[in-house]
Formats: sequence, C-alpha cells, structure tokens
Amino acid sequence: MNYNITEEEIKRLQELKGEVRGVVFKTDHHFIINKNGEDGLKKVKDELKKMGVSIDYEEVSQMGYYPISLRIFSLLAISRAFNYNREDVSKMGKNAPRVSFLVKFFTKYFMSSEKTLEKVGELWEKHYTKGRIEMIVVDEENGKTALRLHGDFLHPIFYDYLLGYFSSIISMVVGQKIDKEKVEHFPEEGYHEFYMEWNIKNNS
Amino acid sequence: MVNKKEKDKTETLLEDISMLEQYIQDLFEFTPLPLCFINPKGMILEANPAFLEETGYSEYDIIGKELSVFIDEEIAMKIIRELLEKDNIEDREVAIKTKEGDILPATFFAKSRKIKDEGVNGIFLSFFNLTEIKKKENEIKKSKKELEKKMEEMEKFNRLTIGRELKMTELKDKVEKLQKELEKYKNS
Repeated sequence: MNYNITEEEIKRLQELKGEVRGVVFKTDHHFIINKNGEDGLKKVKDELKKMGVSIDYEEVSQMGYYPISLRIFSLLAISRAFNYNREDVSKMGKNAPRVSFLVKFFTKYFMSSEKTLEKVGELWEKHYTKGRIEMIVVDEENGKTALRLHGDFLHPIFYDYLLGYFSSIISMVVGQKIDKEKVEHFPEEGYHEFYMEWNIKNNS
Repeated sequence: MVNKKEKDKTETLLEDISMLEQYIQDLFEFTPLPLCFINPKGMILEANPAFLEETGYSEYDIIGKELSVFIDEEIAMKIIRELLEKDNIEDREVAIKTKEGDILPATFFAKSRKIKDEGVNGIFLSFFNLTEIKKKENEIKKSKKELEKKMEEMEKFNRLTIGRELKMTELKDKVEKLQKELEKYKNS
C-alpha cells in the first residue's frame, strides 16, 4: 500500500503544533542522496512542491527547530518520489539512526543496555517538542521491549517510519537483531504502542 | 535573579558541550586512520570516513551491525572479551573483510572506553592497512630469493672457470716441459 494525502489532510498537517530538530531532515537528505543521488533529491523537492511545501535540505541546521508538519511532509514526499510502500518506509526508518548525529551521541552515553533503553524517551525529547515516549516494557532478559508514543501525528507514514527507527535503535542498544516488530494504535487513549522482540543469543 | 543566572550558566555549559562535541566530531572525521566505536555488545555505533573508504562499507551497511561484519566472528568475540577486562590491545595483526569480500591484512589498536564508577561502555578500534607493506615485503622476499639464486649461479660459474684456468695452467706447464724435453732430445 502506498500513501495518499488529501487536500484536507495537507491543511490539517500544516496546522499541527510542535517542532522538530533539523537533524531529521539531514538524515532524510543523507538517505535520498545515498539511494537516489541529486536526481532523487529533485524528485523529492518536486513532490514537496505539489503539497505546497518547501524544505531546503542542504541548508537545514542540525540543531535548529522546524515545524513538525515538515517531518511528515518530508516522509510523504520521499515515499511518493520513490514509490515506497509501508515496508520501504519502515526500512528507511531503520536506516535513520545509522547516520543520525543525535542517535550516535545518545547511544554512546550509557554503559548498560537496560539503562539506555530506559532513556530512549529522552532521545525523543531531543528531537521533538510534541509528544512523549514512555517505556512500558524493558525486558532484556526475555528479549522484548515496548514503548508508548503519546500524541497524534495525523498521518500513518510517521508511525511506519518510527517502527523501523525504534527497532533499529533497540537493536543497536541490545546488540541483537529484532525478529518481531509491530505498532498498535489507540486513538481513543491518544497513544501508539511499538513492540519489539528478539532472540536471546549468548554473547559470552 | 538567581534563576536567570542559573539559566545563563546552563546555557553556557550546553554551548560548551556542543562545541566540544563538534570538535570531537571534526577530529573523528578528519583523521586519515580508519576508526570505529563499538558498544560492549559488539555493535558498531560509529565509523569515520577513513574507515568507510578503506573497507568500502557505507554507514547504512555497517552502523548497528556486529563487529563480525568485518572481523572474523571468533576473533571479534575474543577482542571484546579481552577489552572488557583490560584497557587496550596494541599492534595486533588481524584480517579485515571489506564489502567487496577482499581480505585486508592489518594491524589493529583497540581501547576500551570507561565511564567513571560504571565500567566499560564501549571500545574504540582503529586499524592500519598492511596491504602495501605486505606487498613490498613479498617483493623484497622475492628479490632476495632471486639474488641468492643468482649468487649461487655465480659461485658455481666461478668455481667452474677457476677450475678450468687451473687446468689450463697445468696443461701449459706440461706442454712447456714437453717442449723443453723435445728440444733437449733434438740437441742431443
């Protein structure tokens, strides 16, 4: 399934409150250039234009704050430019932590993986002024973790992307390949839950 | 007033940290020596441009992957175990697997990164590609062998020529002696 967006949804997205750090656009830029080169970047910018938005990926400041709607528009433009389905978007999310300056900085902070897992919520705060992460399961012994994202970000592409993104970070922290991952939405309660599981492998 | 002072102080400290991080990042990117950072679980968290260039991997290929992507699994485990117990490993030979599947002979240096009161939180690993040195070493070995062979041949030739010359002198003496005897016989 590919992603669609209506005029009405574009308008609602533009009104979404909150900000995001420029580093996410740098990560997108890195991904686009790496996979599709300058032609790919032009395609993405054309898609953004069709939605009435513009992002100057080259000039973005890593630590600067930008409207959160641009995060979603950027993902939508990439998915439309390269005809990405949900799986492709999730894969793109998996790649993001590998080049993100903030994630690299974060993952080098703490000694124990348990402690790092508990701090994943702080990583969210370093990127977004909207929403909040709550670790609801941190069970390294049995190879599972779950986190809850509070807040409504209006478009499913963001959650698909985040599933890959969280999965990649957890994999880096625990040193294992994630075997099962899924996202469940709880619109009534106003949150989304991401579940990840991995097989325990003895490293010693 | 105090709050404002505290806030200013925090902002200054954050700016300092940010500048320091930028400095470290610039240094990490500048160094021509391949360098990467691995967590205690053996996951590669960072690799500098020199590392990517030398091994042919991209950040997407290698970050978040196990050390065994580019070092034999058994050796990789041994390195991690060793560095959880001691500070560093210096100048040890290892084979580096490139993305193309080539094997680079290398010597590596690794150092554990410790957090006060907590222990090891990661490992810095750097390597030096020995391909050119090994190539030169082999060339020298080959040249040495060739030289030895040539010297052996020369010695053999020398022995032969000296032997022949001795024989010639001996024959010459014999001829002279015979000539003298012949003249003596003629005169008698």
